[in-house]
Amino acid sequence: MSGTNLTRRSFLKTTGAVAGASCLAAGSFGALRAFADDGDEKPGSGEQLFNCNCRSNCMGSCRLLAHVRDGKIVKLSPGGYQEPGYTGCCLKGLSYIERIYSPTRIQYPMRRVDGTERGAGQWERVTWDEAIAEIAQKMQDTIDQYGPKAIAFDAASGNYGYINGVYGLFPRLAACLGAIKTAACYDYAAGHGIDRVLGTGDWQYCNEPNSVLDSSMVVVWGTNPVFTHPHSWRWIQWAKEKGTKVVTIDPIKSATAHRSDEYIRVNPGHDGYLALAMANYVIEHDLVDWDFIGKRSNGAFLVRQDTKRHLSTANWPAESAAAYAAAVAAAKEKYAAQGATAVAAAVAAIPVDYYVWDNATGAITLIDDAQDPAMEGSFSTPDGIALDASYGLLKEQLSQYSIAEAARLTGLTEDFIVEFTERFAAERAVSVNITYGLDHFLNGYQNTWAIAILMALTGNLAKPGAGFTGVFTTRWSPETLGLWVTKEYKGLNATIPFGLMPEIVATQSLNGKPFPMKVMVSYCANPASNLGGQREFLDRLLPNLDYYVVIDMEMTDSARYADMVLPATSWYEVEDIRAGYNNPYTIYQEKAIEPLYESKPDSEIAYLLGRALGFEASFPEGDGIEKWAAILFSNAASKAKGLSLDRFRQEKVIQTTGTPGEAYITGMTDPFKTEKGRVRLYTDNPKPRLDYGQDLSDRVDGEHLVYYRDPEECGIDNPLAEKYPLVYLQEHSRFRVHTQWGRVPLLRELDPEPLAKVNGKDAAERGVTTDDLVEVYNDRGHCVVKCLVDESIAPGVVSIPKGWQRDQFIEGGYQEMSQPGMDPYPSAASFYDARVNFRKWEA
Amino acid sequence: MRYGFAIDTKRCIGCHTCSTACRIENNLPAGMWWNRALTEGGAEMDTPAGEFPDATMSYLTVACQHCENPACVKVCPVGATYKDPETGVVRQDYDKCIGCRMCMSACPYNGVRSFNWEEPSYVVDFAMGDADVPPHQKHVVEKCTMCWHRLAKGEEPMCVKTCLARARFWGDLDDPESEVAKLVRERSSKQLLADEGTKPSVYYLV
Repeated sequence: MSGTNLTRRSFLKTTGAVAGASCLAAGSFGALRAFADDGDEKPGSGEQLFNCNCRSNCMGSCRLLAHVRDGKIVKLSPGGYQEPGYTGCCLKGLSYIERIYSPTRIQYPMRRVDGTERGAGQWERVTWDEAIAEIAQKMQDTIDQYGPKAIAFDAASGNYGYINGVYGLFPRLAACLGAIKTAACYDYAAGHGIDRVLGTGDWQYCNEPNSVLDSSMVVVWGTNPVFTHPHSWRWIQWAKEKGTKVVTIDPIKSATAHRSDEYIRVNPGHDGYLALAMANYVIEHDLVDWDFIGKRSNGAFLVRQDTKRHLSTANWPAESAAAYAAAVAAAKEKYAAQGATAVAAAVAAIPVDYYVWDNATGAITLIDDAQDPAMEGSFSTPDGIALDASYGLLKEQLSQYSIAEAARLTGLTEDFIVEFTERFAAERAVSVNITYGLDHFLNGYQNTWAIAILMALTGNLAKPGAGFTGVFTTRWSPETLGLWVTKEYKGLNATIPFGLMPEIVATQSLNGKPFPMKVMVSYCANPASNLGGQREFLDRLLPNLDYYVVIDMEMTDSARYADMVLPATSWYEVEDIRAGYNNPYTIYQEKAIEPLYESKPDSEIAYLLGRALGFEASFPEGDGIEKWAAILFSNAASKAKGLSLDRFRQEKVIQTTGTPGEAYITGMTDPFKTEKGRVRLYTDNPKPRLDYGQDLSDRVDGEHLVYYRDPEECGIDNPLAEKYPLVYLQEHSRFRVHTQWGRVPLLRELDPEPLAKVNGKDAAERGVTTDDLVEVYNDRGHCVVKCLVDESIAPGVVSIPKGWQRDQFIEGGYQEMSQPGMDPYPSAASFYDARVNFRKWEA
Repeated sequence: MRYGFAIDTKRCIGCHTCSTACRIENNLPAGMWWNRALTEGGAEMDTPAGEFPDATMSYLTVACQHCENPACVKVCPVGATYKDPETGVVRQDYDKCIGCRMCMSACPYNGVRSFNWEEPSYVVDFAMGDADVPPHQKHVVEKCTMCWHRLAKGEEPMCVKTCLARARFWGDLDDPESEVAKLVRERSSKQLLADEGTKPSVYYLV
């Protein structure tokens, strides 16, 4: 905060205490009435109000009201919800005005000046007609020479509007072309691991944020809601005031750890081992919630030793297996014309039942018919198939994970882990609050898989206050596929992980086979800054790409290296709809102001490109939100809720998940979408998130039962620790969401420049202190940045808050040193699995 | 009547949302903050006192304390800074202010008042915030008005309206039935520099 004497706070040290009755309990939760919203802001003099929403990839999705005076947005204020506990927005939402009217906003299409280097900053203004004609020509030439799969459309999370955001009309264009729509690779490990147990897919694992009011303990595990989802923290704080214990497990003492009842400091990257050792202790000391495991888990399901699959009516006995195979064949034939998704849904709908060993009869029987299903033991079918009970297999698997080794890896004491495990198992209802701290390692999905197993064994799932919180997502989905598939559909190739693009483009091959990749379009994305190991993008992807188009509002790292930059509208300049994050609503976006300068919404850019490429039938004149919204709301889920654009235009915000006044609990409000609705102690059919033809033959047998794997680079035993003794984290700050809001002048007054946050001991060892310039480096790259000695940072860790752009560093960039590798199961970025060192910078 | 604030430091997360809302609502010039979220801990924002892992950190939002016995009012030679007799709000009349900055030196709460040395400058070329906010002027001292323009319309201050952590409460401290009065009565609280005798109307619930 420049010039405002932020650090001259002598009066803070001499504050006088006023004696007040210390009756905390009496006043605390009774004040819940005070949370109630007084109602939305009224329009001020000369103002018109518009209903809007924030649409970045933060852990919220706030309804905001735009106050428009003389055609300009002069203020944004929080818009209320039926549940006032969800009302409110942060400083980013409020300061978005300075993104709309940013002095550095991209105003018109710009072409890199012919003959200049990419990234040299030499641009010439072109008309939209010229820009669209050039891009279409480059695409057509590429298709003619290499085929449509040499064109990739890349989107990440810059805008969650259904019409103009990541779900919008570009996939329709990609599908018409038969081009590649790359799969985003950010944050997918957490859900992949939990899906192994809960069957909740990539995103649907969390309970509603208000559910923590029913928790007896909240464990904030590797995330920092005080900075990154304060709306969810608010519920945790209210729970805390009611007596819920709040524990934070983190390698650094985050702002959340500072506000928790207890801080548990762990070495980065070994959380999965800790959870498995705790799970093993729970079994060895009979702290298992047997009621839950018996009724709600697949612990009794039998596993065939020959195939590693559950013994089920799909595979036994022979006549049942044959009937199942025939039903699958029929479904495939019937739904082939409707595509792979329809086929998969039809196959999944074929009923399958599961066998257990009934101790009461000493025979194999279907689970629902068993009186006393065996949880452990080896058995055999009458025709000689050797079988094991699932729980017994899990128990045997977990037996290798010891408290002693957990203590060695995490840095905790054995006594503490034992004591914490006993507390955890004894709690009435534990909510584990996660986002993606645990996710950002190569063993990320094993971390969350292990925690899900621990929660299953202790019965902390599918009941009030128990389960995961942190990433609560909509359980209603509109018909986005319908938005993308037209009569000119050639194919939606959406299984290539974006994280592999540097390798694909550099080698022009995938899985060892030729795969020409020549043209890329980035929208709602800034891959140059968000992809782990930035030099992969700069040195391998870019030089081998013929043509790069970036659609954005600001000159991001990606835009700076583009051949053509197109100006996008802000969220407030076009009508749209988004589903909530960490609230149960779907929110309408009115067009509050006209698009500034020459900016255009993504849907219009896709329309112009589509028509220029000859897809007039898929992009007919006069198409608009009425038509697209009608498609989005055409599915059964939308019809059941009576959703329509008209309703959104009238009501502005509609609860589309759960029930007003209640807390949505995964696995309780709706059943788990697992085999027999039971949580999986053994995973029958573990599949990779994305099938891009990768060879997993040496992995597949090991993926049924939870296991620990060391992180790739950051683990305590990694030999690289000698050269690079510090683990490199990128904490997420209050002032940016990924790379968005990075150039907002108001925020830069509070948070002017990138900082390398280090512990005082590490700083002293290297002879540096606060405000010195340091070089943070490893073999992958470096950056030069101001140092901040911060005793919230553990010794052995460097944290550079995420999202600064390269031109904001003295040299290099924060993303150069991060981990570019991904595990082929979740195909998820693993930024924090990285080691670095730092030294004083001598320019 | 004495309008004042109760700010729950157990809830405050130092998120700067109140400061940002204030800045936009009042169309503050670039570089100016009437309300700031200060870190109680280390020397820099969001750093703790002490050593890892026992380090501690909390937040205190600080703006004009709207004192019952304001030091600023006593020293103003022209009556530009004055206490509104009806509400207890300490006000600043830009048109009367001669820019002598006596109020700034008399006020014990460092940094809550700002002086426009130059013509105020802005990021955007139109006035943000509420249309009824008086224009900012060169060579004038300014500070938190308790959103006087909102009080006039029966609305609470914008920092209270937007507080993300629901840590800010506002109302009539003289009304025993008001929420602020109850909170001050029922919770332990502190005032900044209570021994200066300024009798601030801002109570920090601890």
